[in-house]
Amino acid sequence: MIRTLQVFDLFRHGRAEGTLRSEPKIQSAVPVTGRVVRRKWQHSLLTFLMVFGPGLIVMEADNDAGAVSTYIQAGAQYGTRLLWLMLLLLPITYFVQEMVARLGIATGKGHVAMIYERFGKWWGRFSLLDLMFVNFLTLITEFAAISLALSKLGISPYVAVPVSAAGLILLVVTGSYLRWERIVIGLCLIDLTWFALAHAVHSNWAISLHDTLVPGLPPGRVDSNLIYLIIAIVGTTIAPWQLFFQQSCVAEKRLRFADLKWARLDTLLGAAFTVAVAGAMILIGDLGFRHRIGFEDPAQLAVALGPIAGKFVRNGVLLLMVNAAVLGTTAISLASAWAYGEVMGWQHSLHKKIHEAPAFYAVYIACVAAAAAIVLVPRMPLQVVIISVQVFAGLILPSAIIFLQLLLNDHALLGDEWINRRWNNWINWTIIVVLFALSLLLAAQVMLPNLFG
Amino acid sequence: MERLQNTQAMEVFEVVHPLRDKAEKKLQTTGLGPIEMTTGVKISLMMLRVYLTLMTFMLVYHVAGLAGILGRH
Repeated sequence: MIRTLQVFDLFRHGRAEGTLRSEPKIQSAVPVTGRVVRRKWQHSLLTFLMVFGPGLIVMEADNDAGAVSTYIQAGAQYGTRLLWLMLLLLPITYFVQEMVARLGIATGKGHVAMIYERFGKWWGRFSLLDLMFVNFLTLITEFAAISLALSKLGISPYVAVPVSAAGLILLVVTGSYLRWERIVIGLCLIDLTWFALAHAVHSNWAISLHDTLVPGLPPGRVDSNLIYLIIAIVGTTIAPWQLFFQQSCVAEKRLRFADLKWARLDTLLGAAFTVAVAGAMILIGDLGFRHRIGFEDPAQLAVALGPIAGKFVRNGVLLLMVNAAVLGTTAISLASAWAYGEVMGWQHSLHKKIHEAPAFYAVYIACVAAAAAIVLVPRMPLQVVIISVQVFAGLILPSAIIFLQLLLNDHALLGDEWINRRWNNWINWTIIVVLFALSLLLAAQVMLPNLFG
Repeated sequence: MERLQNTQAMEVFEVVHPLRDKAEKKLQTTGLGPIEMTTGVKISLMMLRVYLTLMTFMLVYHVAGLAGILGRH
């Protein structure tokens, strides 16, 4: 909350209460608990920095191991020709997540809890169980990526995976939301290294800029591979857990009504950063395209790029894969733990110590530990897991987004001030129809491949 | 805070971190009951059911195919 004070008021009366400017209410003499600044721009900047976090984290954590794989594959198969898609996805991700932030600030509750309250137990349970299931399967893919990347660096999976899991658990059990947030923001900023890697692979920036601004398809036949990849990019950029995560995170951070504009800026910057990082991944994949390198996963590509681009690129891609998986794991596990804890009526907050919210932390720890353990099972059918993620994400994303849109049009819940405007609804319904169609296409391609030749 | 020992009437701004501010009263959601079933809500939920049914059929077909029940794959 921002207050405008007169300096001598602070000393004469103590702390002023309320969003002053127009009608200051003076309280008894208590110390000022906030930061006092003298310039308008300073308080705008400081307020933004205090609100900043959930938007960046939800967006950048979406550049998880699966996303690294998808974007690098896009670059390796089609060069820079699909970069325009990232620019197109920027406003889409922003508009979806802005609704989530608005709903979280207005109600102070998580998304699943709102579905339970307004649409009943059946839809609530469906959303919760599907979310938990798809999140868990995604966690397995994150640990698989950690195992894969670190094994290329000479670290045994039997060391890498348990150590990563232990680190991820330690990250949240300290009983401090702010500590968790600051560390995770630091991990997000490590992703700036993707730009250095893109620079190191000598990308042709003029062509890249052209392909970003001018939509076009790769030369040759538009085949099922291309359609699949485009759908996968869209599905990767807008993941179902993001809706649940950001609403819970905003509630956890206790953002206030006045913080909405800063939460929107946080979300917009997060979306822009994430899309730019995804573009850098495509540029790295493009090096594989230019050298006709065949690969099955990004770790394999990174190793193959070593002799061409040097150790910095090789090790950089491998370590950033691990960072992506760690970011994805902590955000996805928290999305599950917040949602489950809230529905069950448990204490479900990172502000609580582990003994104050044992069930909440148990869900987080169980998700992380079980996914890590499954990855260590020999001959684990990872392909089945990846396909299942796509199928169940196809179930949860359209339904979660429909509920979000209906909740944001719920006058009884939000009143006139917080509901969607008409232009909001036009944009959002268009996004929803496109996402429904793409999810259906993706599911059909995965489950009925014969349809696509 | 020391800098504030200036007695001139000068405008300053106090910025409080959301987690250190007093709790804000949010919109009341409990006790509202189920959402009003307007035409828009009904159509949306119906479309969602159709979509989920279609997805379920595809999933069952796929699993049946994998299990060899349909004599394919």
